[in-house]
Amino acid sequence: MDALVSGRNYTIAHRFEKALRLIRNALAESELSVAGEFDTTGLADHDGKKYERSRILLIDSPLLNFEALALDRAAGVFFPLHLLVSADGERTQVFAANPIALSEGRLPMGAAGPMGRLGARVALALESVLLEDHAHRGEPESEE
Amino acid sequence: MSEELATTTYAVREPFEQAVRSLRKALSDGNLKLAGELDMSSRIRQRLLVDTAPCRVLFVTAEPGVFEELGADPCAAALTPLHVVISARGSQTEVHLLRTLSDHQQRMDRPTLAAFRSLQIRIAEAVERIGMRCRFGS
Repeated sequence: MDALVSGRNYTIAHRFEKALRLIRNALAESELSVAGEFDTTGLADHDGKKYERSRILLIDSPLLNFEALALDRAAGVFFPLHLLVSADGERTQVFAANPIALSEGRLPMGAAGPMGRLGARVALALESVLLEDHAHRGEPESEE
Repeated sequence: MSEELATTTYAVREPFEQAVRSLRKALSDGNLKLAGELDMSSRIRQRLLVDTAPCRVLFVTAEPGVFEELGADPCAAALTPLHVVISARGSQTEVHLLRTLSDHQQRMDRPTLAAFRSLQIRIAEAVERIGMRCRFGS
């Protein structure tokens, strides 16, 4: 599944609640906001095993929203960005969705730049969580 | 010939707030669930002190479990709910959606594609009850 795989998967070596807290802190430090969230507990993985806890965070930046919407309001279909956070025993799985996965054709005028910057900033925030954790543990990072 | 737009726009002959109510009802009548809303223009005003025309994103899903029942990739859940943008345009309103995925695209597996297409088609049908498609891309 190329389109979905083109999003990014991360494994955080902490239980769900702590991982969620670390993610929120990292996003805030990157001046990103959680504009909303949905509880998706009960979601099943490929093997049919249900994640005990699961949540989608809607991540945005008002400045990037403004830039994206300035030329064409249709750009709003790509904002905010979705982050799926799922409990996996002692670990937490994070999937940063690629909103382009659901689109075919030319993006609304002015959307591509802010979308790219938002995705990059979310990736940096998540990588900072992994780096900080691995700095404490002395292990290599685990982005997949 | 330039590529077709990734989004479809509908014109609604109602002022913004009335159109928001009409859209919520049309989605509900189409058995679609409104998971939430995000007032983009208010967010921009509060954080940047810039006034922009009213604009909201409605987060729309199907019934819980639809993606699982169809055997879709679990990560596909991260791409839902789908976004429906409603924005003021003078005394009228526009609704923007992602254009429905073609059924022959190969970026997704068949069950996932079927689940997304089904949801997109239902949303488009609901919006078409209140608006007229006005932009296809060129």
